[in-house]
Amino acid sequence: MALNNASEESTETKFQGAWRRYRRDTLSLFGLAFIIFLIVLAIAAPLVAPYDPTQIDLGATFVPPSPLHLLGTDYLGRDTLSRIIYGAQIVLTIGVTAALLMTVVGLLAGLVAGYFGRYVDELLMRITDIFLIIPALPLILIFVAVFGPNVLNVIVIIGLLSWPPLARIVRAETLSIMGRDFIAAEKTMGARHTRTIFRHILPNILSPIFVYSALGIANAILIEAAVDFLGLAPLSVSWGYDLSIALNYWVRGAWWIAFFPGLFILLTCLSFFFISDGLNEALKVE
Amino acid sequence: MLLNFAIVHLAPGGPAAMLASPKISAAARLQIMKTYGLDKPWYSQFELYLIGSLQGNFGVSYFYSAPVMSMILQRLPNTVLLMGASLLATIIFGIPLGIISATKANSPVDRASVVLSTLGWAMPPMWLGLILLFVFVLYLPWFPPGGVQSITGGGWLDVLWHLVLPGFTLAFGSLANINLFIRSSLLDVLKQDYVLAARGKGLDRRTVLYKHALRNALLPAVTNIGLSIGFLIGGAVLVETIFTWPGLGLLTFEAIGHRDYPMLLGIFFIFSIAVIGMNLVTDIIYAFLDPRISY
Repeated sequence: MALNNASEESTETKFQGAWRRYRRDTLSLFGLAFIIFLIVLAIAAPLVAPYDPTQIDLGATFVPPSPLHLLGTDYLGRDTLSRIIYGAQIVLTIGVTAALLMTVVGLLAGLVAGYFGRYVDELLMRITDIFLIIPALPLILIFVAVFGPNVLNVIVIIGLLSWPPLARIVRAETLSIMGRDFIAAEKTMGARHTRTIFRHILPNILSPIFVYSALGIANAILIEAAVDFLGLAPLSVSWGYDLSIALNYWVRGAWWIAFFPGLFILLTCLSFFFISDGLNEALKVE
Repeated sequence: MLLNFAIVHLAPGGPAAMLASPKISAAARLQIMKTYGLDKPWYSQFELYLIGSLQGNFGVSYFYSAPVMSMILQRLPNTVLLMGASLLATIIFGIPLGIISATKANSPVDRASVVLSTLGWAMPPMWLGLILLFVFVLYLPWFPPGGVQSITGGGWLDVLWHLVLPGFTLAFGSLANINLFIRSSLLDVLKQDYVLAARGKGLDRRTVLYKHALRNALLPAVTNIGLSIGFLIGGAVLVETIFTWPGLGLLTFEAIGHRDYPMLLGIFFIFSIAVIGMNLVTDIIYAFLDPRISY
């Protein structure tokens, strides 16, 4: 039996091995399933949403969850369920692109600092430290307020202000690779910097980058929700924006405007957390 | 090893950070000046702002027409109270929970604490705050909806009563940070040879845990608490907005609504000073706790 297993493992591809390790954790599978569900929901929004998310119906304001409006309506009679479905589009777009930008910047800063070392490292890491301890949310709020709350600005500002932790991880990983013999050999043979970095260092540090980027998406979504909540929403359909409506009208007891969009934020962030956890297991070298 | 320690722990709150953060707020300030078309050349404005902010003068609020600094000073004690209470609560609950989690890894208590911390991390604070408003203010009128004290006044007990919901909301979010950090740090330490050696000497579990392992596991946590202040400030902005707690966070929210840029930058300056100050304090505490570091 054991022998059988071993032979099976030797023939499987890298991807199959990773998938087998990923599958082991139920929560990681749940996370992946929920995100896929959300993506489908976002793409198929015009087909599945029962109402237009901005359609005002003053005859049906503050309707509690009921057959006609499954998750209720807000102060303008807009359907909460439809707003959540359409909101998924904007939340996923901002979350993923901001995390992508964060990854690129963090990766570059970390690679350059780790590879070139000395004063380049010193300079880059001081900058990283400054951004690491400065309270991120207030700074993001100021920038969004100054440059104007539109989708592109929110993405760029979140992306450009959340890279320091990743830069530190990438730097540490790069340093540990730099100490290996094959890098020394590469250098002796006179390889160009770009070749060493992209052919030898980058492929060896990819796993922690994937793991952190998945967390980065969750982080970006939480920040975006906070930005929306505090009155700087770039669009009038998003989960964070609905929470700000809920705060304005909480005395009316319309709990559904707060509960359901917030629940989706929570589930989405948890899912990315579990995906990150699963990737950590899956990409481990056994 | 020692050098590594020194570099990592000297870095936050060092002179570099001290110098740069006023520059950042000044740079943002610069952008605003340009959009408002103020006529002085940028470098003399920069100079004025730099000198002004060093003297504690952040200009006049656009909305309140009052000096930014006096508005900030008026609100500051409330925020200090809220953040201090939350930080204290996180430390009081987070550290023991982390210790129990690590010593009884994979037990039901450990699992529950990990789940709770993960939830706290992934939960938007405004969601938790809103739910608390609905449950404990609207349906069960146990707590006041907001503010720092009743209109009629009522001493420190009244303030404490107002503090419960916002304090809990803020603390829950940062619980994960401290709890999970202590847990992983202690698990690492417990695996090390010297802990095994101490057990091998015949010392009982308790002595080894409290006298040997914990001292080393708590060290990185001290730095981590310093770093978490920035996160706590972000949370305070949200929590104060929900519970109309009249502190700097609510002031930030109002300033955003009024596009009151001098106010925003003044508050941000104070936040930065607070973060740098706290990191300096934790660095000093660290130096006291770790005999290997001397300044």
